[in-house]
Amino acid sequence: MSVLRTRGERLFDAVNITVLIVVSAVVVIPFWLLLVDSFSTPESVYLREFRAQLLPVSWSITAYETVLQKSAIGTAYVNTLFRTVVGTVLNTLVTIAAAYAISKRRLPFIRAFTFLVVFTLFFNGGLIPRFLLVRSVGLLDSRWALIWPVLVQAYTLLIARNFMFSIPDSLEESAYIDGANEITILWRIILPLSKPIIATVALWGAVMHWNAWFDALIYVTDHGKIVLQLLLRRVLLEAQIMSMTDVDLETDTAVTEETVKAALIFISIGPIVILYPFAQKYFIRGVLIGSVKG
Amino acid sequence: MKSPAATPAAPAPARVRLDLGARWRLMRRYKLIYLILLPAAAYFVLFQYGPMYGIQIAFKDFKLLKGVWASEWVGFEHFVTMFGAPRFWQVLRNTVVISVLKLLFGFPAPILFAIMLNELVGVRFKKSVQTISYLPHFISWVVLAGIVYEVLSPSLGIVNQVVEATGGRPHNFMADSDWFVAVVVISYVWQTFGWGSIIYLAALAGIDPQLYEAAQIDGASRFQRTMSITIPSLYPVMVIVFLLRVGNLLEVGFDQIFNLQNPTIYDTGDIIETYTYRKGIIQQDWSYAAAVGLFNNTVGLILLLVVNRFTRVAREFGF
Repeated sequence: MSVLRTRGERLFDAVNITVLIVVSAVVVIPFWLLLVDSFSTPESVYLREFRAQLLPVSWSITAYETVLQKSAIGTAYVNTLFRTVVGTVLNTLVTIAAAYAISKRRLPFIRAFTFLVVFTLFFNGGLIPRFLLVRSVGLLDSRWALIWPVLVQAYTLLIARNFMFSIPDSLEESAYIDGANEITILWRIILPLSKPIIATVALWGAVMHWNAWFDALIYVTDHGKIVLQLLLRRVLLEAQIMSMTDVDLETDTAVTEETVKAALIFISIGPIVILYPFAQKYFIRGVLIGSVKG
Repeated sequence: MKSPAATPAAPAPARVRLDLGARWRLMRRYKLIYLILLPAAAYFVLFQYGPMYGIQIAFKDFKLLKGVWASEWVGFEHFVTMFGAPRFWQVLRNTVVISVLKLLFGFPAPILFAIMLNELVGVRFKKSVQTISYLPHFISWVVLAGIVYEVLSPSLGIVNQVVEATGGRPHNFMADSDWFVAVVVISYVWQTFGWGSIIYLAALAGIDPQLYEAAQIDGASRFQRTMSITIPSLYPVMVIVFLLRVGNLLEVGFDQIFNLQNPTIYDTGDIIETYTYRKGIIQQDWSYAAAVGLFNNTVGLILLLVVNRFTRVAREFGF
């Protein structure tokens, strides 16, 4: 890089940086305004002259207190935690095991099975047959309806397999010659080398489970098993949708207080917002492995 | 774009036809491999191929009490109804319109963003902008749609506050069919431009710095270097990403649209997948909804196969 930059280049740099700051602001501001709402007193949200104030007019944590007092929210949180923890563990175990197996392409039927997996990326039964299947195996209204039907994501499985290809066969062969049995090889050699992809698969699975709502909407009607995202949908969207059909600009204030809605959003996205900056390299790794052979 | 994971350990093995006995011996020798594959295999058979068996209800008069097998065949009746329904054509048109607009705006955005990031000198600023831009990717569309409704709220939303402050009249964007598609496309670009830039950034990181140095010695300006080194080096990824998106043209983003939509904007905002959901799950017109879904999936499959052929050709030409 040259030390001296022309005026044009400096101007370009200034414009470039400004645009990127504006872009970042456009991403952050909607979240920030909600965060401000969640820490405001309910009245001050309506009293504000201009809503785009970057700090609360009057601070309050009543919104969070209200949210935490509602038992439905506690239930939903526990249900979401259940599906996320159990779902992610099962997801990761089954996916990693299968990925290792289908990376052994020379064994009989492995290529045929891989083709069956790839085919599901191109074509699937569709919503209605899927629903009827879940219904016919008796999973409706069960917590497991949120776990078994999404046990393995074909795309994730193929990415994990591509990762396994990078582990040299010679490692396994030499361990075998040294007298290690297959379980030892799997446990002592393959698993430690697969840590990065295990992290990727687990994090993808966890985010998928945490954010999933549609399966809960169609498979589970029992209120005791409601997940957080579905509860959010009820509070944030369904009230809006009902008010939309009878449009009246004055009655835009929905049933739930703005501050409570905002607090609810932050309680639900909090864990992700706090964790993703630290875990992003594992998420990105998956994208990159996928883009090479996808 | 070569990550270490991309190179297989051994050259692709030659496929040798084995007789049954040899296969059986291999399978017994490696039974652990098949054992650990079993759960995933059971999953794919039951939950991926199981529903494919149920596709036949698109050609039957499905009754919940009779089940898939015992319901009566009706041939193409549901497809005739579907192609005769003005609503279906409207929904199909909406799907294509939204999809094409998303492609038009959603495809260039991450490329532009990656190039802008690439021009930055400061590492920390670059990393911060990247991390921020990834945020919406991790948030569910339930929450994002809630945020969109908040931001566009006629009385409290920041957009209408700005409109009012500049002398305009507040507008209920979410109840206006003319605006709905714009809201969908803008919020889509907003959500995806950051995460979508990752593969372009990886391609940019793979450019040999000597190229830039050589160009600089030859007197190429920074703009010229960007135009003739940076952008061309992204072509291969662009082609693949573009083809992949065309192949998935009928997948318009169910999560997003289902959460954003409301009955006032169905004439522009209802898509095939949401229509299938309402017809099937809500109105319990199972067979008809399955027929609509089958139509969607079949066209999707054809598109993907065509695009796959193109991708192969593109790769042969050095992409």
